[in-house]
Amino acid sequence: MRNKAKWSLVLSFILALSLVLTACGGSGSSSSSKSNSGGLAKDQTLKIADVADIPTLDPTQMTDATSINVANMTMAGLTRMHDNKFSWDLAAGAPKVSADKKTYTFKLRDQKWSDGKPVTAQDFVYGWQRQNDPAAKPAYNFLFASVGIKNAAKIENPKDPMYGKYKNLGIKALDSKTLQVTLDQPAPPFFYSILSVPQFMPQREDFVKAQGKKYATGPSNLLYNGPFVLSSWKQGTGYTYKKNKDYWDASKTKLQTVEFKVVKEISTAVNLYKTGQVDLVTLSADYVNALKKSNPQEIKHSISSGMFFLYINQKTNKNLKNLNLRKAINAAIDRQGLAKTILNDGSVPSTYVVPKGFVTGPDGKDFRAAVPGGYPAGNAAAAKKYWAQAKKELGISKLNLNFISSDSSTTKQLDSYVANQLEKNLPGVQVSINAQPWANYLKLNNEFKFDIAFSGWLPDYQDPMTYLDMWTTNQPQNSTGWSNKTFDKEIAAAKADSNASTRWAMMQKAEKTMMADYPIAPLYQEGITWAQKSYVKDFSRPSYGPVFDFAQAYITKH
Amino acid sequence: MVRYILKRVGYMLVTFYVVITLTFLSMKLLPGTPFKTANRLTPQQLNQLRHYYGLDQPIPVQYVHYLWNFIHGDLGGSFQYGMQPVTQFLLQRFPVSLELGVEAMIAGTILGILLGIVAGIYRARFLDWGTMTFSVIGISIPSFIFAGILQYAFAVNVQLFPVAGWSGPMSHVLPATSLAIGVLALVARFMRTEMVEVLNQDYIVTAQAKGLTTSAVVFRHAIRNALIPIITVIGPLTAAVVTGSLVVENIFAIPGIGSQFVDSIVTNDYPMIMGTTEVYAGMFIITIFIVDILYGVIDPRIRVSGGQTS
Repeated sequence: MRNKAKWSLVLSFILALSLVLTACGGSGSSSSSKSNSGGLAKDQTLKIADVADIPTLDPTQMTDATSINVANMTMAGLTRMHDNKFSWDLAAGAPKVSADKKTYTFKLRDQKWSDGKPVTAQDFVYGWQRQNDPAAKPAYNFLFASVGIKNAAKIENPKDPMYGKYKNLGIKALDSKTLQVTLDQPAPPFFYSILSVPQFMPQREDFVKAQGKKYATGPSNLLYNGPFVLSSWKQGTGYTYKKNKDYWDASKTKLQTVEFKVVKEISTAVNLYKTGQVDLVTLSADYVNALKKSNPQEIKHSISSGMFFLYINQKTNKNLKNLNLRKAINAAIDRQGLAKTILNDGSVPSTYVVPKGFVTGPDGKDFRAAVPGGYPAGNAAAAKKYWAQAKKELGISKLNLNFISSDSSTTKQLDSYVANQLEKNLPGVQVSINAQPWANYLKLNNEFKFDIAFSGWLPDYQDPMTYLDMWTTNQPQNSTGWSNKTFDKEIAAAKADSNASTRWAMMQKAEKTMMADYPIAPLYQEGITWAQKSYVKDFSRPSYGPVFDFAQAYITKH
Repeated sequence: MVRYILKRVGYMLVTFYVVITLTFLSMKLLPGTPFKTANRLTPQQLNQLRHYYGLDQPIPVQYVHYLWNFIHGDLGGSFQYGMQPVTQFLLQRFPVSLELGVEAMIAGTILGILLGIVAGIYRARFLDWGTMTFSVIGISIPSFIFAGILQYAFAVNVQLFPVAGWSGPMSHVLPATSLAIGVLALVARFMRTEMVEVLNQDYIVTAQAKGLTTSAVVFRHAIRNALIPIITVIGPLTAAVVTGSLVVENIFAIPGIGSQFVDSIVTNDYPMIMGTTEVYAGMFIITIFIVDILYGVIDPRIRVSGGQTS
C-alpha cells in the first residue's frame, strides 16, 4: 500500500468551493421521522438544487463528490453503501474466501444493462482493467494498489516491467456469473466497502469501444445498471434521473424521478426552495439562521467524514520543531467559536485525527469511543504558558507565521478567525494570511513554502488507516516534516496485523502517539446543514462514498 | 471598400494569433498543475498524468502541438470536466451568454438612446434631471445588485417570473433587465451629451433659422450625428456585457460561459483557458470590426480616413 490514495483536501476543496453536500456520519440516516400525513404522494419526484455540475460520467475519470454521486445513483458494483455500512449489490452475498484470505470468488446476481444485455463477470474484469490501462488515462486508479489487488502496484508503476500490462491484474471471470478477485496479501477490513466506489464498477467492452471518444460524454453514451438511469443532462442547467425498473432491488426504490438543478448561488437556491421549486437545498452559514427562523422544522444537520486541520511546517521552519510552540498553536484556537460562529453548519470542534461516526471496530464501537474528548492541548491560558516556555527555549520574543490557504469565500472568514486567535492568545505572534488559488496552494504546500497551512482530508476507504498512514515519515501527504519512529512502527504493525482487534487497538495507539507530538492542529470535523421539505423522507448520507443516497427515499402526500 | 475590408480581416487574424500566443505563454507561467488531486498523488503518479496529457514536453513543442490541433478544430479536453471536449462546451455555453448579452444590449441601447434624446432636448429641465439621476444610479450600481433585487421582487415576492433557469422567454426577462439597466444608463448619458452638443452646432441653428420644426431638426439632423459616439461605445460595451455577465449568470443559474473563464484560470484548466480566451478575443475583434464598418455607413468621412476612398 505504498500508493496513497486520498480523497482528501482536493475533494474537500471542491466541496467547500462548490458547497456540495458531503456524507453524514453519526446517525447516518438524516431524514426526519416517519411521515405523519400518511401515504405516498402520487408524484414521486424529488427536486434538488446543487452547486456543482457533473464533471464527468466516465468511471475512470471520477475523483470528485458529484461524479461519485452520479455513479452511485446509476451504477451497481459488487457492493453499495447504505448509511454507514456496505451491503451486497451485484454480488449475490458474501464471496467464497480462500484459506489464505487472498482469493475471493463472487457470484453475481442477474442484472441487465440499460440496453437489455446481461451484466457479466467479464464486464467487471474489463472495468477494472480499463482503470489500469494507461490508454484510458485513469485519474484515480491507485485505489487498486491501496486495497492490494494483485499486481496493481506494479501495473501502475511506470518503472516496473509490468507497467500498463493490465491483463495481469488480479481479476478473472470464471464464467459469466462468477468473478474471482486475487489480492497480493490478505484483504484489509475495508475491502468490501471500497468495492462500492466508481473505480470498481463494471464497464462493457463492446459498448466502450463502439462509443470511442464519445464514451460517457452524455446520458446516451453510457450504459446503466443501478437504481436509476441518467435520463437527461444539460450542462450548466441540470440533470435528471429516472427510476430503473430493471434494477434487481427496484422494489425498494420509490422515487420515480430525481431532478438536480445546477445553481451556483446559494441565495438563488434558497429562493428556489422558498418558492417551492426545489425540495432540498444545502445552506451556507449565512442562510442557516434566517431559515431556522422562518422554517425551523425543515433545517437538518449532519456531520461528514471531512477532517479539517492546520499543517504545521517543522521541516523548513526550525522554530516549529519546538513542541511547546506547536502545543501553544493548538491551545490558542477556540474551536467552539470557530464551529458555532464562523461555520455555523453543524461542524464540530475536533482535537483528533480520525473522525467520529465514520467507522466501527470489531468491538462494534466507534473509533472515537475510546477517546471521545480527543487530544486537546488546553485553553487560552495554557496557550500563553506553552508560548512563554517556547519563547524561552527558542530564545525568541516574536514570531511571524506565513499562513497559506486555498482561496475561496468559505475559507476567508475561517482564515481570519484562526489568524486572529493566534495573534490574540500568543502575544508577539504575527500571522500573515496568504490565500492562493488551489493549484498554487498545492505547489506551495508541496514545496514547504509556508509555516501553517489550512487543509482537509476525506477518506479513500472506510478504515481509520486512511487518516493515519499519511503521517508516517516522508509520505508525500505529510506536509509537516514531522517524523516519529514509534508512530511509524505502530502504523507498520497495524498494517501487518491480520487480527482485527489488535489492529484496531494499534491504530488507536498510533493516533495517541501522534497527537502527543501535535504535528498538526486539528480544527473541526465538517458539518452539513440543509433545508428539506417536510414531505421528503428517508434519504441518507453515507459516511463514506456518495454524499446522497436516494435509493430508499420517498415523498409523502402534501 | 473590399480591399479595406480584406486588409482589416488580415489585421484581425494577426491580432487573434498574437492573443493566442500571449495567452498560451502567460498561461504556462501559472504555478501548479491542472490536476485537482495532485496532493494525493506520489510524484511518480503525477509525472505519469503529466505524460498522459503531454504536459511533460517542452513548452515550444506544446505550443506548436496546440496550434496544429487548433487549426484542425480540436481545442482539447477540459481538465475540470473529465476531459470532455472544450469545443463542445463552448458551443453549448457561449450562445447562451451571447443571447443574454445581445438581448440586454438591444433593450438597453434602444431605451438609452430614447432617454438620451429626450434628456438632450429638454436639457436642464425636470425630464433631464430625472433621466440623468437614473443614469447615475444605473452606472454606479453593479448589475448583480439589480439582479438580486429583481429576483427577490418579481420572482419570490410577486411570483411573476421564474426565480432562475434559462427556458422560455419569461426566464430571460429578469436577467436581461438586470444587465440592460447599466447599458441603458451609459447609453443615455452619452446620447444626452452628444445631443446637447449637436443641438448647439451652427448647422442646427441654421436649420432652425430656415424654419424647420423641432422634430424635423432633431430627427433629420441631430440624431444621426449624435449617434457616432454611441456606435463607438456600443462595440466594446457589447463585448463587456457578454463577457461580464458572470455574476448575473450565476444568480439566475444561467448556463452561460461567464464563470467558466474564471474557474478555468483558478484551476489551471489549460485547454479551457485557451478556449474561453479565444471566444472572448474573437468576439471582441469581430465587434470592433463591425463598429468600424458601421462608422463608414453612418459617416462617409470616416471611410476616407480608413485610407481608401470608395
